[in-house]
Amino acid sequence: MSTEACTLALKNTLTEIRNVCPEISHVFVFRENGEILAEDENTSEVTVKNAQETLCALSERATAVGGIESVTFRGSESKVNLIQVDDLFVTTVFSNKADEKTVSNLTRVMIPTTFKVMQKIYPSIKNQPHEETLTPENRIDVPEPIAPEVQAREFKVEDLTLLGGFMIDPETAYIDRALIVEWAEMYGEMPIKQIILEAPSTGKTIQCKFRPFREAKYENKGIVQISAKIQTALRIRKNSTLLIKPVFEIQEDVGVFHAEKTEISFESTVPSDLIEGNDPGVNLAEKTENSDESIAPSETELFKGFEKYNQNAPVTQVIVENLGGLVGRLGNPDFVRVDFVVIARWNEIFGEKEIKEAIVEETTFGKEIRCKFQAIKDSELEGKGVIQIPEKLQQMLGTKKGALVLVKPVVE
Amino acid sequence: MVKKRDINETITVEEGAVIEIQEVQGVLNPTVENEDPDYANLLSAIQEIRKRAEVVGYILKGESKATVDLNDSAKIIEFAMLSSQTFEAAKTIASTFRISDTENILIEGKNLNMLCLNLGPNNISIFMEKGTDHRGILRALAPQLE
Repeated sequence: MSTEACTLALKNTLTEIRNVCPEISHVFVFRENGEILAEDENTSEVTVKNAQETLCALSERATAVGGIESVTFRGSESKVNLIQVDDLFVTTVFSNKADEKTVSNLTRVMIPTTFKVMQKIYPSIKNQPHEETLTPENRIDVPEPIAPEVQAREFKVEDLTLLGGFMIDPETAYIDRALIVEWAEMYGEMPIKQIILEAPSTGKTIQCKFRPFREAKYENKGIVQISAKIQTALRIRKNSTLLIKPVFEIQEDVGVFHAEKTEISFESTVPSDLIEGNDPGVNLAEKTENSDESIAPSETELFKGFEKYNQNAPVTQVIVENLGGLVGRLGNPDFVRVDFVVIARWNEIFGEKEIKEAIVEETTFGKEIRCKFQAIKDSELEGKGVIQIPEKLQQMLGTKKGALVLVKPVVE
Repeated sequence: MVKKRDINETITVEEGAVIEIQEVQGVLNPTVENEDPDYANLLSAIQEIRKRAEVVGYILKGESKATVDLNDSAKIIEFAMLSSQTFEAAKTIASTFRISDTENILIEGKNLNMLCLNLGPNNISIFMEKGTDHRGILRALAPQLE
């Protein structure tokens, strides 16, 4: 089974080939085992299936000539050409008016190149196991799972905009959905909750959470979205190259990365802004192998005092907005207004668990309040990444309009 | 009727009859009786082509008979099946993609190439060394193709 990304890339390539050479009426790709990988928009699946079956049957008979490299069916008006590249069969139907050299170059170069690039990005495409039914004779005992050797992938850094984004965690790297799916395919039951980001240019590494891109426009672009905070910690910036590796649950310690490089660890759900102060890039919990001195205390000490949040509740960074309207001006409210999307997400995560209150934390000095919350009523503020806090509570927190705070549900 | 050739095997297929394989030592002048003139002309042309060093064999299949001449006689069945499958595939491909009748088919294999032509009731498959320019063979067969 190929990944969606590979199919999409191949499909786009086939469509581009037809755009470049309009005399090509059909072009499609299938594997030696018969699996159809992609076809152009003009070619129906039935057509591809018919042709694929015929050509596969022909290929099977071709042992007499040592196996097929190419086949050309030449008609009076058009030709059908099949070429084999590795285990790929590329079939092209084109008019006799087409320049054969152009068609040949397009099919023999573009498609295999695209596929090879995809193989580099998604090695599982190349090494897909053939499905086999295990019989008692050929069944073997599989030993306990160990952390597999993983190869880091190269990505370009893209800024993670926090102000415009809602529910964005600055300590999370946002990556391709296809990559996550591919890891799931490759490593099966090995749980992957964190990734290692490595900046080859600086030698810095970070282990952090990851999530798929929030916007589809970033998909399949070979980029990773990380916050300025992570960029600072890695000492890289937008468009820098970054290597990404999954971290398996059984190798949480990531010893290999501790060996020679600086390692900075973000605990999954706790906002390190609270700990490090205003300049997180400088004050992150950092330790260097060559130095006995630990810049920050151990993780346990670092996050002391935050155990009460440790229910895997999501932390959302939002901007303080005054609580206006009659309630804000006349009353003395002891609640904050949170975007209904955030509330919906909490409900989605915690299901039937009751969430009556939220914890709001000021990010500079770590002051916090626990209070009730309601949904934002002003539609103009919805989806803007803000939290409406009455002035009294703002004073208690030591924050004001425009400042960043963190909000988290209190799960009963 | 049996057509004979020096050292090579000759297979004659009579319609509805069993394939006969006869190995002949020595040269005999073939006698052609009641033979389809197109078939005979084609056979003659292919025999000329067969003399080329790069051509390793051929299969000529008519309505009621077939002639096979291959360097590697052990692979007669494999070559015959490939030839047959190729003409079948040509029909399917032509109808699937609505291309007009297939004039010729070239299979470039990893070891050998095969050129197939459909001339009315007669099918020709010519096997040649890899890298052989099949257009030379097509030119040699041009009078038969008209």
